[in-house]
Amino acid sequence: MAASGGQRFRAGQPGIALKVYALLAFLFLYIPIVMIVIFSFNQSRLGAVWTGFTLDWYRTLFQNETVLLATRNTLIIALASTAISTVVGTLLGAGLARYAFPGKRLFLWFMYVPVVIPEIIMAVSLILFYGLVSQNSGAWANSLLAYSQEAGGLLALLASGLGQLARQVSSFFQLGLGTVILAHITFQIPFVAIVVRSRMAGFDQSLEEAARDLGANEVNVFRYVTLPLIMPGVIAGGLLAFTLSIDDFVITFFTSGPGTTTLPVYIFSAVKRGVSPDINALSTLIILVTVVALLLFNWLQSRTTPSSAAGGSSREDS
Amino acid sequence: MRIRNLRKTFDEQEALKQIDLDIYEGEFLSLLGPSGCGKTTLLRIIAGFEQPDQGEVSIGGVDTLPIPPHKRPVNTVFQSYALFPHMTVLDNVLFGLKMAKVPRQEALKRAERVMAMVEIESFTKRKPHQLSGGQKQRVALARAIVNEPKVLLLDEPLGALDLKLRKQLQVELMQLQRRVGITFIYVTHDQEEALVMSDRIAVMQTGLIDQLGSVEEVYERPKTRYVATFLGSSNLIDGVVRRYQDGVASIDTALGELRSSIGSYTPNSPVTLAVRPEKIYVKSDASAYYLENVLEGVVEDIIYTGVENQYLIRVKDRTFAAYVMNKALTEHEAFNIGNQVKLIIPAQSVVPLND
Amino acid sequence: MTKPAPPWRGKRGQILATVGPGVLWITLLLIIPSLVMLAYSFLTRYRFNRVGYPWTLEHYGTFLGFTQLGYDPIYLSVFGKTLLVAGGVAVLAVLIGYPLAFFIARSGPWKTLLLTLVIIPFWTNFLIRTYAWILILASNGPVNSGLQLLGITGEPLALFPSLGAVFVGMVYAYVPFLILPVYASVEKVDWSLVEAAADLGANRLRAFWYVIVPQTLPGVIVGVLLVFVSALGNFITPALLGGSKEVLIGNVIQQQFGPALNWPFGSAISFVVLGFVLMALYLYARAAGQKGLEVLN
Repeated sequence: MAASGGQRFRAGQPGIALKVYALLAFLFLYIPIVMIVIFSFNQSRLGAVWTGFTLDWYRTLFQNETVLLATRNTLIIALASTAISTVVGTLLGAGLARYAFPGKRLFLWFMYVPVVIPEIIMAVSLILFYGLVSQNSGAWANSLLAYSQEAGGLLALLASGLGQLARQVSSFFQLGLGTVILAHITFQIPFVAIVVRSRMAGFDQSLEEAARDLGANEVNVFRYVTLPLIMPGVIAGGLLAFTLSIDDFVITFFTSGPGTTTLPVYIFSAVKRGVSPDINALSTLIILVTVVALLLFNWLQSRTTPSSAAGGSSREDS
Repeated sequence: MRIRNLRKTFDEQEALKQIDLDIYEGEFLSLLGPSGCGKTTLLRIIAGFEQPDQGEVSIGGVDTLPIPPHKRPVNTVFQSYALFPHMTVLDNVLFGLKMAKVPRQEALKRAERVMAMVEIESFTKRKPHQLSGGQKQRVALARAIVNEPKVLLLDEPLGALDLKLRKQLQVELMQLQRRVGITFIYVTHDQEEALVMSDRIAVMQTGLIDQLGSVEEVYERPKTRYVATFLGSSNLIDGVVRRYQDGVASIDTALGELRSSIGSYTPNSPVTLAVRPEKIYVKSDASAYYLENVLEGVVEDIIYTGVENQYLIRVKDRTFAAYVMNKALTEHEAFNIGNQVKLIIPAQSVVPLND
Repeated sequence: MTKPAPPWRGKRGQILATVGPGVLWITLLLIIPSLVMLAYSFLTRYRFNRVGYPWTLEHYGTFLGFTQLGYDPIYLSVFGKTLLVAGGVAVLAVLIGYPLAFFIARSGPWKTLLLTLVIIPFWTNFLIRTYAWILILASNGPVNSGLQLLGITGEPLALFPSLGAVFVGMVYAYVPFLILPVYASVEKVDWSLVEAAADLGANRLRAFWYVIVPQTLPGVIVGVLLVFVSALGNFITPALLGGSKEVLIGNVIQQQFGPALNWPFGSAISFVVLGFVLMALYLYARAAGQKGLEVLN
């Protein structure tokens, strides 16, 4: 913010020094990313000397079994978690925007926790929780099944059935795809809820009243009026959740088991051994996907629904 | 519809203090009053969007208050139209029928009929944002009417339209109501609008109904100061009743004795009289009118509105407003500022007020 | 005849249906695990990571340095180092990021474009942005090559792994975290006040300090908070750029849940860190009120 002599004082207009600085700052922000992209095309295997352009590394990616498996896992997790978290998060966001309920303020605090907290703490607590559930349900399964062996008749049937259920629960909660998906949903929900909630803020409540007046019960109001109008926000939230899931490393690292490696986890272990161009290639692809998703998200958020143009009021019970 | 004892308070603000109202089937009733008088609150309670703190509302003998809005035989035309922006005009109109699970064929027939009535049949495929204010208005109407509700509630629907369109739609609405025969409850702050369209008017003020009656009754025989000045305008004169006999009252006022042949009076009690400006005759010579009230005054100001000359005439220490229509030259005299004139007030135009 | 308001407002059903699943989920998978973690931190660890009674404070004690072999504040010192690093990163991030945010907010028609340009790195995978520095700081990497070319150094410097590399990596990764909140609050500045200040004789520098800075402070504080909290728990950057020597508290926690298999101790440390974070948040909430939370968009 140095004063640039000779220029007339215009409140807060950037001077030359600031412009130069901004340029340098942008370079700073982008050079590492650009480097990765560039070096993904580098012929040389050894990091940082440019020897020539090649697409080889991209090719080897598609033949790499581990990478393909990791990709598959990443996508399964992302799609499953996004589907559930979008539904739950949308409902949550809509409810928060519209209703007041006892404990709302407190709950809002809890909801913001996954957003602000260091991921490692959340990950670690989940490991403990999963372990607890898995162990205990395993123990119940064992005792129930043992009991069903000894007892007879209906009771044995019941015990056997419950025992099977407990066993399923136990194995589900052992670290694997299931645990990762659950974890992802947990941190996705607040994000989706926040996006949907702010979309609802600009929503014209008289439209819902009109729908009710015309005979729609609450479900129909939501289905025919509210949901179609907040849809861009819902999709944006879903996109956000999807990106968060694909990019997540810390939580996935802790809550995944053998055989459920995702791309970020794979990159981490690979990079610890040393940076190689195929990792760069992989990273470039991921960057590409993220950027596209982000641009889509931006575009969706900028679309104003016609209801906000028509005026009207929205009241929040809060 | 019967409304009894209605009371509603918002955050320490008493929106409705005590409302008792009977509404007849098939009539056009206006709730008239300035903003904040509670008319919209009353409407919303009837529609079901608000619950009163106490009181009852029933339609055809059935208590409506426990029924949620989507089940009530009542439809609303909103001030902001509230058309569903993501649906076409046709889908908007069909919405209520769809909620009532009316079979598609029949629903389409009914919709077509109603849309023809309000003249929107050419826009069925358009979306609301492609329509003008007046067109949106008609769609909102059609959407409400097609459900054949027992009562139609209209919340200042013409507020956002320009004057000419408003006047045109006022007449159309009135004719429409006569044709479909649905009970209309119409909320407005525009007294002219209420006069044009309604069968009966309820004049409201700060949570109470000041007067409820037919249009003529409310206009010609206002009961309170508020009604006399809100609906049209009135000259107000205070006085004391000297004599009341055979339907004619003699009242002593600061401007002399005035006689009234309308309303009831109590002798020796104070009273406020209202005289509407258009009922006053302004002449230079009053000798032909010795049976009526005659006051003398000087023209202070003249406002020309095209339709009439509004004279402001000073009588003793008071200013009277007197409106004279601009009829053909032979029928009226034109006066200038400073002229001495006589004001002739027929006894049947002197109305006593209750407050 | 008067009647109280009839009870058809079954809003309870609606509230339950919309907010219910979300609340249930967050409670089950966020609040309860945290409580589990709290419980674990007070349990005793037996061999092979068996955990059981009695309740004990020994893990917190170990964290504070009271081991069986005498006082050894190693964990405290790691935590202290982490606090310092996190603080330093936050400060640097402000120094670098604030002017940039300011610039973007004042660049008129270019605003949205520039903002998107800043958001792109923000959304790019954290891991990728961190390991990029391995590439840059490698002994045959561009920095070293550049320095050698310019004749400043004779042979490649071991720029990484080192604490400095960790620092740079973190600052780089976190600057975007700070730019967004600061940008939001610069947007809200009332520029007429600056003009008033100028009118009263303040030059640009003083106008900036006395008028602009206070108004943008909320955004700065939010940004600093975000950066500080994230840096506190960060174990990726030290793991990649710090080698085995530079360890921050995040790595320690990771070890307890990884090779060291000491879950109660790990829980205890996590809880201490969590406590710090919550305290920072609480102080912030006290100062800024609910509005601050909304800056998150």
